[in-house]
Formats: sequence, C-alpha cells, structure tokens
Amino acid sequence: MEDVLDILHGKYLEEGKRLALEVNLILSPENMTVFSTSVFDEIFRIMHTLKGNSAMFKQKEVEAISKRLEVIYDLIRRNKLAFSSEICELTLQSVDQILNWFDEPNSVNRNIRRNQRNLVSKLSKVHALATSVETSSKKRRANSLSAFSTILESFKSFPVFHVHEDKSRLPLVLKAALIKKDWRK
Amino acid sequence: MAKTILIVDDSESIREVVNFTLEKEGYNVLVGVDGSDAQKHLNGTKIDLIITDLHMPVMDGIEFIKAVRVNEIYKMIPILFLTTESQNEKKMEAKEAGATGWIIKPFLPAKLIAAIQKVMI
Repeated sequence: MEDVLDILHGKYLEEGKRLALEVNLILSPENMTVFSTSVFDEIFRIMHTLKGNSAMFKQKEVEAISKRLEVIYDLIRRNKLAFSSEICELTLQSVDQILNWFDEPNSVNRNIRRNQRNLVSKLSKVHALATSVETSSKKRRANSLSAFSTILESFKSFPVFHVHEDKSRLPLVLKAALIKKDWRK
Repeated sequence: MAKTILIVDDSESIREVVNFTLEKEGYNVLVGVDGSDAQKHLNGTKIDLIITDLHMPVMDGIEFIKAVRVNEIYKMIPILFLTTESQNEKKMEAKEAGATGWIIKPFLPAKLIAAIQKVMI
C-alpha cells in the first residue's frame, strides 16, 4: 500500500491544490454575484473530495479541516445553517492553511501548526453552534441571503487597486490626497 | 480472460489508487469521472463489476446505479460503493437503488481486492 501512495502522492497534492484554489475562485467577489445553493453544493463536494483524498493519503491535518468544512457546508446547503461573513472568512483562511500544508507537507513550522489548531477549533465551534441553535428553515435561508448581501456590500466597499490605473477611476479620498500632494509640489 | 471493472469517481487521486491496485491484480479497468461520464461505457461493453463513489458532480452514485439497473445488460452485475460516507440512511438509499456492497474510504488494497473477489464469484 505504501508504495502506491508514495507513487501517487504528487497526484494527490496536485489535485488538492486545484480543489483548494477552486474554492478561492468560487468565493471571490467577482464570482459571488448571484446567490445560489449550487455554490454551497460545490464547496461541500470539494471538501468531501479533499477529506476523502486526505484520509487515503494519510494527511490528517488537511483531513481535519476539510472534514469540518464539509459538515458546515452540508448544513448550509440543506438550509440548516446560515452562510455568514464569519464562515466565508474561515473558509478562505482554511484554504490558505490547506495550501500551506500542500507546500510544506508534515510541516513542523510552529506558526502553521498553531494556525491549524486555531482553525480546527473555530470550525468546530461554528458546527457546535449550528447544531445547538434551532431556527426555522425559512429563517435560516433568509439569514443566509442577508449575510450574502452584506458580504457582497463589504466587497464593493473594498476596491482592488491596480497600479498605473487611470487617476479618474480612483476613489475621491485618494484623488484628494493626490491633488494635495501635487499642490505641495 | 481478465475481468473488467468500471471505476466511477470524481477524484483523480482515488481513481488512480484504485486503478493501480486493480491493474496490479490483473483486472481490466474502465474509468468514469462521474455518473454521467461513466454511462458511455454502458454500451454493451462487458463489465463484471462497478465500483462507484457517492458524491459526484453532474450525476451522483445513486442516480448512476439507478441508470445501470434499468439497463437489461447490466441489471445483474455487482455494484460496490467506495465512499467516505457512512450514514445508515445513505446506505439504505444505495441498497434500495441496487447497490451490492459498501466500502468505506480510506481503504486497504488487500481489503478492496477481498471485497471484489467476494462479490464477483
């Protein structure tokens, strides 16, 4: 068995990175323009695959994170838990952590290990809270929609700046700062 | 003559592990990346066993085996689920749809081969 896993370890890492980056792409502000349960289905499926692969290839750290996210997104897609900015943030942090593990498998790096423990603990709390709080399916769905809108709004107020961009497209505050700087010259 | 096994899994890594294990034992292997893709092999090709995942995009494992069971040629062939899912409800659903057995991931190749030999007799 060991030789099969050793031979195919590279394939596992390659697929794992691709899946993790897919989640990043799904949750990117450019793509989160339409609320749809299929988004949560997709993240659930990716986490399910990551969990299974990681268990097979004995990568317990990745398995621990993906297992918790799988449970959380299963609840969200079945309207038993509201999607929130906290869950969105935790998911993105988890993806970063998973990518760190893929870059440094079996890492002894203290920071990576500390982050791992913190994330697993936070994800477990989200899950525990979800199973302990009883709200109606309709209300949960409404909460998900409202949280989704809030996240979209927060993305809108967080513009991405491109260097060498036309000054006319910069926010007013920045334009004012630039004018002030020019005036001082 | 070598027996033919159809593997259906959306995970490339798992497909490769199963493929490697089966070919090492002398089986012919056919592959599908999901239920819908795997249906391309249900065209009269001789298949002795199907091993399928449960959660897959486009067409999941349950829908796939329902499609297999309505095909006269493949009505009686054994179908094993290979999945991390362990909920009894899902197992019952799979059984009702026509599954022969259930193997939980992660698996040991020796156990996979033993399960295969048991259902292919």
